[in-house]
Amino acid sequence: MMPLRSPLGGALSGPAMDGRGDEAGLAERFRALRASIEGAADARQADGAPAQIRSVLVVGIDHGVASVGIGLATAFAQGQHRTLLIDADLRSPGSQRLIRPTGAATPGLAEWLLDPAEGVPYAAYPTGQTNLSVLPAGNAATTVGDPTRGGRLAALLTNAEDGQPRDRVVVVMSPLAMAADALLLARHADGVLLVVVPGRTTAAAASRARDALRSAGGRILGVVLDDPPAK
Amino acid sequence: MELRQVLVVLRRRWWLVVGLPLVVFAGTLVQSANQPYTATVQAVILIPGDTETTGNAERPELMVLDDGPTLVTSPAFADMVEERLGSGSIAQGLDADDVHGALSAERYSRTLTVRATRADPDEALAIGRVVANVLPDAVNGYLVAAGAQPATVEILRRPTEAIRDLTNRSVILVVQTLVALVAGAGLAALAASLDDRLYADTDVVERVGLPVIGDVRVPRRSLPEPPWLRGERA
Repeated sequence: MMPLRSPLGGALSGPAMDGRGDEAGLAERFRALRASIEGAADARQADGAPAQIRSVLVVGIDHGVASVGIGLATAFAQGQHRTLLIDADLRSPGSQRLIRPTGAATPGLAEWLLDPAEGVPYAAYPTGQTNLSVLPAGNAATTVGDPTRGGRLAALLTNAEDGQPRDRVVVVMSPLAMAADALLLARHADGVLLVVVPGRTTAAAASRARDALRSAGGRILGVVLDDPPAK
Repeated sequence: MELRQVLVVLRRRWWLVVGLPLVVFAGTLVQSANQPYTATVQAVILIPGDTETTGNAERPELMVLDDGPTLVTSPAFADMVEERLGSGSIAQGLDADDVHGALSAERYSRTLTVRATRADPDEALAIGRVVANVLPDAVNGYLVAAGAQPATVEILRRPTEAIRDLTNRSVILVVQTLVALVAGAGLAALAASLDDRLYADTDVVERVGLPVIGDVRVPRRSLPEPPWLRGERA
């Protein structure tokens, strides 16, 4: 898989764009997902709902979904949308290895949430992919606890500005089985993607997740089928 | 349930549908390979005297001969056989209980068929041969009254070898395998009914009520594209 590199020397894994092998097929699948999301936006416009889907939460039931978030953000960026990818999965820092830029002491979402000075821009890193920047979980991810406290993350969804306008914001959330972060943030996003692993996720668990997200005010765009997490 | 759904269920748990019949097939083969050996003795028994009473449909001799199988499977007969086995290596491994457990008999008209069955063919044959020698004395000792004219016991067939009865082996093998196949399919269906996991996008739509708008699983390796298609994309 061809990594996307940031000027800081970090690597951000995403679907390759060179048209070779399985990675090309995977990239096409994310492009198709992007088209489905944008199609859902067009469909909702007729009933007076928001004209576009700008912020999307990506949440799994009992597994991390960082790879899905990365792929979707990459697909948005390739579609000429100025995209910000936020790793808000602070409960399982292990997943942020996929989008944490290499290098020492990289601050991210956790440091920004802990910073008492409001209005300070967060540290979003550019990547090798045009139109795509990333806000990693941060080194202090495990000390933050609840990333939704104070409403700062919710505000980030509606006004994700760091000096640059954003067309799309993709937020990777902690699994619903581990934390209620996604439920607290769902109503602030334009849409929620529920990620399911065929052969592992039960219908009962998926139904409970659906009901919880809807009760929290989330607008479920649909379900994305994903592979089981690597052991 | 549509046929297609049934096939999907069977395919998903093919190891049950295929594995169970394979296990049963192998087990039946092993079982038939371990089938015991049987030595058979056939004898005709003639009760002396005119036992037919004019105008009477009953045949007293046959009523007496009804006791033939009971005699053969009795401990007394087993003792007689065990005594006559001698002192050879085969005899040393057999006691009266072994002989008793090995013997079975059936009667048809005046013909008595005795079977000696053991896992060891030599033991079965040894018992069968002694049965053929002992049978006349046993019949006259137990089925004919003392002082009466003795019965005639003619041995029709003395055992020359002990064989395995594999006449229905193929039929049993096929029937048991087919039954196991049906049982495997039934178990697969039962497992599917108890399995709440989602497997396909149709499962998500039907059971969760949400649309599947993306499938980002890593695609399986497919056949290579033809050159003209690769050329077009280039």
